[in-house]
Amino acid sequence: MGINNLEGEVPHKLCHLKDLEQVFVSINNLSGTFPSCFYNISSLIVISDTENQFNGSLPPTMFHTLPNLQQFYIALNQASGSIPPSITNASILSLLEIGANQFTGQVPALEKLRDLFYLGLSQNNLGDNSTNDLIFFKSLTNFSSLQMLNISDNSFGGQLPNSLANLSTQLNQ
Amino acid sequence: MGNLIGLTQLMMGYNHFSGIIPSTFGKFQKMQKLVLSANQLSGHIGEFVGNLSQLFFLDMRTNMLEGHIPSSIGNCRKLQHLGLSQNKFTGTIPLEIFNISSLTNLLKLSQNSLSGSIPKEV
Repeated sequence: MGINNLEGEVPHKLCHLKDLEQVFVSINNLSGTFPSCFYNISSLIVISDTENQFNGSLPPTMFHTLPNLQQFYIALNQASGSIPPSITNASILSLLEIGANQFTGQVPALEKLRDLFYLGLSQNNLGDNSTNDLIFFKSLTNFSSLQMLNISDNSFGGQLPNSLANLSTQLNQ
Repeated sequence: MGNLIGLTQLMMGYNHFSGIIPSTFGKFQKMQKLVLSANQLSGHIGEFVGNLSQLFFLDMRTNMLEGHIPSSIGNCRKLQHLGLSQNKFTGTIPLEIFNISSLTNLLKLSQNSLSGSIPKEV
């Protein structure tokens, strides 16, 4: 249903599509909260609702009920609240793009996301201009799969750690 | 955040990062786009930047970086965009910058304390 002029809210009835693998409602004029029942469709591999006017926060446990989710795009909406803590266990997530929303708080540790290649967090209000903001950086250790990291335009602070690109241990082995 | 050996794009602009740019950044050998603009970074840009041979986009505008612009930047033969304005760079503009033939998109060095002349060949 992507790239139309659909407006209004997404009906909860669509969640009855029990074996759904992909949801695309990007680039419309949809509003309200993206129905949380979608986050219980365990067959979903891709969720994309970018460029709408969805608001509200994401359920903290959503990644527990989406064991097959590989790509999650919700950029350019008005979502707020924290990045769901359950993302810590989303081990097969390869792409996360939540840029240009109103997310706040710290980014959870991501060390179990071994397949992550794209992490887009730009244009939110993440971090609090403290050294705590670097804890999530440190969780990205040994992420040789990661190609794109965009954390621009947030409130991250602290000093760039020396270990940011410290490959010496790996290269010597 | 060690061992991010595969990073091709790292965008960290418009935050509150401070301190120096670690020379270990020179190990990002696949890096194509590096954006550190609008932070509070200080110190020199090390010669490490010359190791980033795949770089086409480098933006460090609006920080507190100082010292000379490293001549090793001339090793970045694919560079199309180089933004170093609004820092505290001193010394002359390395001639090597003008020899990067791909540098056609943006060269912004304004609002620094650079001295010397711009070569006639440019």
